[in-house]
Amino acid sequence: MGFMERKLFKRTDALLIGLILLAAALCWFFTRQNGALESCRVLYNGKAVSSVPLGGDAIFTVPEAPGMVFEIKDGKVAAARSDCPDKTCVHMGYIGSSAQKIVCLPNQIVVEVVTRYNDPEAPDAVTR
Amino acid sequence: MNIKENTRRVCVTGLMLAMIAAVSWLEHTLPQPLFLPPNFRLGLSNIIVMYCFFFMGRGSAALLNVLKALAVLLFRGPFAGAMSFCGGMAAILALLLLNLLFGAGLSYTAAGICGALAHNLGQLAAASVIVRTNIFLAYLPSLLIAGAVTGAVTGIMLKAAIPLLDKIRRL
Repeated sequence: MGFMERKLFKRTDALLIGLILLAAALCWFFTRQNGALESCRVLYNGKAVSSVPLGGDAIFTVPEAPGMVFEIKDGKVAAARSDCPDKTCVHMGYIGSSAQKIVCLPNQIVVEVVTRYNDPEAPDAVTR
Repeated sequence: MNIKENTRRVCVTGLMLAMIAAVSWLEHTLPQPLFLPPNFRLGLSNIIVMYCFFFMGRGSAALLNVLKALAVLLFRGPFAGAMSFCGGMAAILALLLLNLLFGAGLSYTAAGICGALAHNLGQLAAASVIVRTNIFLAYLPSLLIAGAVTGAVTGIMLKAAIPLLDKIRRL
């Protein structure tokens, strides 16, 4: 039984918060986008099942997740509709950076936007 | 411990669980706080779990998290239940580790922050496994900041709530 007296805040807690901020800054630095976004990729169970260019507006679905509808608008993609109970994916809204992802657990779907450099489907290099 | 003490303990734990449910429900009816990423919540019910960890034995806190996850499983489905369970267990493990390392030197703020971070990391790990994709780096920054903020808030509120919760524990 912990009937010990505990403090609310100690000086080392400031160090903890500092470390967390540093870690977050490092993560942000390593997930920065390196190039223009080209296409949106839909993963089902980790496997890419659809790759749609972000150029124009589009509404599409994926056969592996029949209850979900994806929408591309202004170079961003969102889950417009979903048959999952929580609708976490829908509440995520539009994602416009390669650091963001839309995840729907019941449908086992991950939606991400990729640049040419991060897209394994695109050619590695193009000479002119 | 005699039967009367056992019964009293069971009842108090039940009351704690009821309070956790009530606080969780209340939190859900509030609008999403703007300073948090979408679908991140303040986790106010963890105030009660942490109180139980410090004042009613570490096992009771673990039990409460398991029961909470069961309730989430019943009301919101298996995926939400799995997330709640993984987050809860990770948070308890973190608290156990901190208690082992620091004992009475563990401040409420640090406990809140580390518990929240572990909870978020546990949920992220569970989500990664479910969708079989590495989504770690994408969610880590928001998870770290949100965990630190909500954890600090929960820790501070825990300190304030101790007199109130003491009254329940001593019923």
